[in-house]
Amino acid sequence: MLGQLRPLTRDRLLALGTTVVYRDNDVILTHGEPGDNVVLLLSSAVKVVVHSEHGPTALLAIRIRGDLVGEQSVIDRKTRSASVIACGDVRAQSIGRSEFEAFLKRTPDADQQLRSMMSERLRWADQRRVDFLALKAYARVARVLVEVAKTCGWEDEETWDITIPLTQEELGSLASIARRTVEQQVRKLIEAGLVRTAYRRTSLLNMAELQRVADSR
Amino acid sequence: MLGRLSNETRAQLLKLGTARTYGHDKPILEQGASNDHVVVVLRGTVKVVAYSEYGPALLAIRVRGDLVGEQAGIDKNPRSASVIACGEVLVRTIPLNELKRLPDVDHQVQRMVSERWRSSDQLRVDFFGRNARARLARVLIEIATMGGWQAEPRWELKIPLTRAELGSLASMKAGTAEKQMRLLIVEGLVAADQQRITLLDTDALRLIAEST
Repeated sequence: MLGQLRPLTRDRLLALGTTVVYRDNDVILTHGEPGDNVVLLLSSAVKVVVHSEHGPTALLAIRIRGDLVGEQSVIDRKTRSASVIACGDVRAQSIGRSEFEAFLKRTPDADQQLRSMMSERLRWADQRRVDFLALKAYARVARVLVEVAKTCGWEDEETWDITIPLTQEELGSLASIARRTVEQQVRKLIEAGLVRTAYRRTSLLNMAELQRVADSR
Repeated sequence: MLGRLSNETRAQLLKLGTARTYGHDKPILEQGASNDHVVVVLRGTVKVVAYSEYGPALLAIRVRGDLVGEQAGIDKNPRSASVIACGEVLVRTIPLNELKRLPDVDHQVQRMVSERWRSSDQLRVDFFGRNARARLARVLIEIATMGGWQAEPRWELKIPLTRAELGSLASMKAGTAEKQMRLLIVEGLVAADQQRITLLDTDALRLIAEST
């Protein structure tokens, strides 16, 4: 969100609300609660998750520095559809509903940008459903890894490091695959020399090849 | 969408754009196109279908009163899916800039995008960890109650759907959808004559949809 705004609009947005600091694993927004604020992320990353009674916790998305979270409830006035959890120490700007709405009203380019972002997130969510039908589990896991790396990974020579700790279950929920299947597919990727996993870190060793797998049927 | 507007705003909206009629199976919006008008469905039902090299995927069914095609207008990307008439359909196509002149409508469109995004995510959550049987039952119930229809215990779906289409709504391959449908038919919960589907016991299907 921040990166797409004109400098002047960005400065105005950053001047809103109050700065808040969260520690690793702190709950920034809570599923089911009314949404009276939006949160602009200034550092690190967060996970958007849904804990459900019937099954495993689903990771819906990862958002990073510059992203806005919590706008759904402010726009459609329903309760929070997911929780947002800090991944590492997160500095953020928490902006109250009325302050944010007033800002959108007097800053049309920010309003347009917010709409665009929401529409693109909807496209993305729908695309995951199309992927699910079209692609094999192996390709879906590769696709999700490439996407996560490009969102919040570090590129060092050929290698991309994903430094956000991701459990295989979380990876599975991004790719809509049960945990056991993810484990098998990740093992295949490791054996193929495309991925390395270590404590709290996943490394993609050959981005070009992973991209090819991600696009394969 | 239309149902949420005041009578006055609705009347203003319906004066915008052009009325059009589409025959069965005719595309109303085409995936990949770079136009940005929106479509209000006035009569009939439409399918939102995303085509890829792997075949078509039915993403959603929209009914009378719904607005479709707003994404391309908002984020300026090409159309992400096609909208196909299901039976004869009467619509109003409205250029986006005309729509923006009605602040109430503009606001409702934004809310609608938010809610559609919400339900797309919710589907992923609900489907994750649920088996094919539960997913299919859930989709059948959803179609039965769409647009405020009150599904009675025995309820014929208003839209003809292939097994592949049911499968794409429920995130499963056509073959799996076929197999699961056959099971529901054998158990007496569903009757199907080609693409005409009748739910014979919506309460039992609801229970299955909630099971894990």
